Amino acid sequence: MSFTQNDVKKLAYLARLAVDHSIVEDLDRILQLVNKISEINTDHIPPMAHAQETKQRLREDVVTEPDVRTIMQSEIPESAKAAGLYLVPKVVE
Amino acid sequence: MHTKSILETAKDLQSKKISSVELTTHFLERIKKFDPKLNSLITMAAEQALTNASLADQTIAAGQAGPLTGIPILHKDIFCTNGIKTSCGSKMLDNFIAPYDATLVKKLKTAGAIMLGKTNMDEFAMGSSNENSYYGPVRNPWNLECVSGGSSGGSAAAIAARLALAATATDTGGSIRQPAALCGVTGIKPTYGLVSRFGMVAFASSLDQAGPMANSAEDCAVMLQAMAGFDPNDSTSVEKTPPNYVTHLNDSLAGLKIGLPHEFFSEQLNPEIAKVVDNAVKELEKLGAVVKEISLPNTHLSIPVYYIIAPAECSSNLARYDGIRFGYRCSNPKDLEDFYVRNRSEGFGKEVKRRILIGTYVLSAGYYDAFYVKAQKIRQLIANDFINAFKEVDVIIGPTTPELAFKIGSKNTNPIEMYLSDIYTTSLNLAGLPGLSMPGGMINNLPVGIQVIGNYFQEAKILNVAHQFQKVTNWHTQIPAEFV
Repeated sequence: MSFTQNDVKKLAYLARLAVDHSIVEDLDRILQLVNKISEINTDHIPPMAHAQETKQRLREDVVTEPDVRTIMQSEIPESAKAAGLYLVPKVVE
Repeated sequence: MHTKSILETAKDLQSKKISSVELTTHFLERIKKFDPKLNSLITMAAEQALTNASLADQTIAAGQAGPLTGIPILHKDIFCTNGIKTSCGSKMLDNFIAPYDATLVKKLKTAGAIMLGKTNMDEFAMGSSNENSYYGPVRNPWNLECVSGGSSGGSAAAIAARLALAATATDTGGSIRQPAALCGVTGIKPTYGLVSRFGMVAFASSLDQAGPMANSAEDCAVMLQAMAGFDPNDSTSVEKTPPNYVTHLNDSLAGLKIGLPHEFFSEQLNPEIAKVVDNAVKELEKLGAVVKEISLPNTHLSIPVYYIIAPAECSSNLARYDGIRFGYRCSNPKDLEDFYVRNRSEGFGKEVKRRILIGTYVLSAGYYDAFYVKAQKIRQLIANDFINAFKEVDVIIGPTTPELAFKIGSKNTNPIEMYLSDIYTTSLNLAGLPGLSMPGGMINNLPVGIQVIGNYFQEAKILNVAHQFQKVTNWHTQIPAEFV
C-alpha cells in the first residue's frame, strides 16, 4: 500500500494545505508503519474512543462571560477588520 | 538558591531568609546567562515576574503563604497566558497573545507561583526532539550537541539547568516523560482528566494531559497538588478530589508489588539502559518491594495505533487555524481559497503538515473503519493489557526511552526513527494511565530515565515510589557541569 501523487493532492486539498512532492515518501513510511494493525484480529472488541467514561455535563443556560468581542478582535491587525467584523478576500465578484 | 527543593525554598521565603524578589531576580539572571546556550525559552516575562514576586512577598509578610508562594516556575508555551505570547512553538501562533489564562496557569498563579517565562517546544507538541520548533531546537544541558527530547524539551532542559524550580509540560505520547528522561529531570504525566486542559492548545484531545516537571518527585508532588482538580470548563475533567500527594511521599514500600513487563526489555532497548533499570529495581527491592515479571502483549502496537489516533485528532483540532480570527495571515491572497491554503501552508511546519495529512487520510471515506475504528479497537486491547497487569501488581517499572539523548539532526531524514523514541510511553496515553520518569543513572555523561507507571489515579503511589528511590540515590541532584 502506498500513496500516489494524486492521493496526496486530494488529501492536501481536503486539509487546505499546499505540500511539495517530497512529502509522499514520508507519508508512505507512516502508512507502512500504521498498516501493521491490519494483521490484528479485532472481532468483538469495542472501539475505545476515550480513556475515561465521561458524560456530557449540563449547566444552567445563563450568561457566564461578558462580551469579549473587542478583546478577541485585538488578535488581528486593524486592516483585517471593519465595523466589528473580520475581513477576508472577496468571495463574490 | 537554585539547588534547593521547593519546600526548602518555601521555608527560606517564609522565614524571611530570602525574598521572592531576590529569588526571582536570581533565576532571571540565570536565564539571561545560560539560556542562550540552550534555547529553552521562547518568551521571558521578567517585568511581570518581578511585579508578582513583590506581591508574593506581601502575601508572605501577611502570613498567608502556601508552599508555592513566591516560587519561580516556567510554563510550556502551549498554555494560554493572558497578555503574554502563546506560540505553541509555531509560526502560526507567533503573533498570538491569549486573552485569558489556562486553568492550570490560573491555579498556579492563585497558589502564588511566579511565572518567569514560556518554554520552547516542538510545534503543536508534535515531536520527540524539539527540532520541530519554529524557534529552533533546544539543546540538552548534559551535551549541547544532543537533543533535549520533546515535545516539552524547553521545560526539561530549563529544569535540568536549574533555570527555574519547576515547569509545566504536556504529554500526548510521551512529551513529559521522554524529555524528562533525556535531560535527567523528574516529570509526571497524570491520569487523563486529572489536570484541566482548558486553555491548553489542543493536539490530540483524547490523549493530551498536562503535568509538572521538576528536579525531584517531591517538587512534582507540590506542583501537581496545585494543578490537579475538577474544572467545569473542561468537559473531560474528572469530578474527583485529588488526595494529598505530599503526605503520601513517605509511605513505606514494604510489600510493594512491582511489575516488569518483558516487552519493555526487548532487543530495541540499549543494553546499558536495561542495566540501569535493573539497578534501580534492586534499590527498590532493598526498600522492601517485591518484583514480578509481567506481560503487556500489545505493546508493539502502541506506536502504529498512536500514529492513527493522534494524527486523526490533530487534523480535526488544527482545522481551526484558518488565519481569519487569529494566527498567521499571509499577504496578498488571490482569493479565499488561496487565503486558507497559504495561511496554513506558510504557518505550519513540516511535521505538523505530515500529521494533518495522515489524519485526514485515516478519517476519510473508505478508510475510516480500516484505520481509525480499528485503531480504537486495538487501543482497547492495549488498555486491557494494563488493566490485567494491575490486578497483580501495584506499579509497573521499565525504561522511559529505548536510547539516550541523540545528536541534533541525526534522526531528521526518516520520521519513523523519531517516532520510535516513544515506544515505551505512548501506550499510557492510549490507556489514559499516569506515568512518571525519574533519573536513574548516567551513561557517557547522559541521563537515563526510569519510568514508573501507576493504575488510574494512582499518582500518589508513583510519586511515593520515586521519592523513596530519590531518598537513597542522588541521580536527581546531579547538575550538568556548565550550569552549576
